[in-house]
Amino acid sequence: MQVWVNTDTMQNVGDLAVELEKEVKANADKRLKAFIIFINPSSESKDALTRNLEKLAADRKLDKVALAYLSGPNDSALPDYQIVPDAKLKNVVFVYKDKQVDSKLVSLVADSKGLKALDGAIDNVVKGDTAARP
Amino acid sequence: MMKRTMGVLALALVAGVAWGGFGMSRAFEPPSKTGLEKGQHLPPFSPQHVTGADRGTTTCPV
Repeated sequence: MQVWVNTDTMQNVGDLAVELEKEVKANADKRLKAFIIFINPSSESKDALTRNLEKLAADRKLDKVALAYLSGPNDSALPDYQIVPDAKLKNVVFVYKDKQVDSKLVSLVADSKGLKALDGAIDNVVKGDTAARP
Repeated sequence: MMKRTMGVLALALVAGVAWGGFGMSRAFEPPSKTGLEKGQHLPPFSPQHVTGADRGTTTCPV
């Protein structure tokens, strides 16, 4: 999975990350991977971003979920992924297999409804597939 | 004749305001179609990894 973070809060991202950590551990035999990609809409410095992401990983005890960032809203990856970094866009979640999108969730909130949707999307990919590589 | 002209102008004005209003509300809505859709392939990219197995690199996650 990939979670692209735009203007989301660290609280919501952290809650999503914990859920992803749980899913990756539960599906270790399915080679499930999770990345959280910070778009960095305000073009924060590398040092500040690195500190914030390291803190998030430590606070949420993230071991399996990887955190990474882009240079900012003008990074060439955004048009490639057809992501418009509108301020109202909190995040975009891609659940995929074999480099092909299976589900997309936009501005996902880590409440019971949102996490259920996320778990369902992951289940769709890993269910009965021992070679899943989302 | 004058009344009819005024009526047409008023109608045009209302329509113009409505059109502009809808246009503005669309402009401030979040993008309804953002991100690759189901079935599309993920292109390679190079984020800076801070944690995880690829920490310190720009390895493509895909």
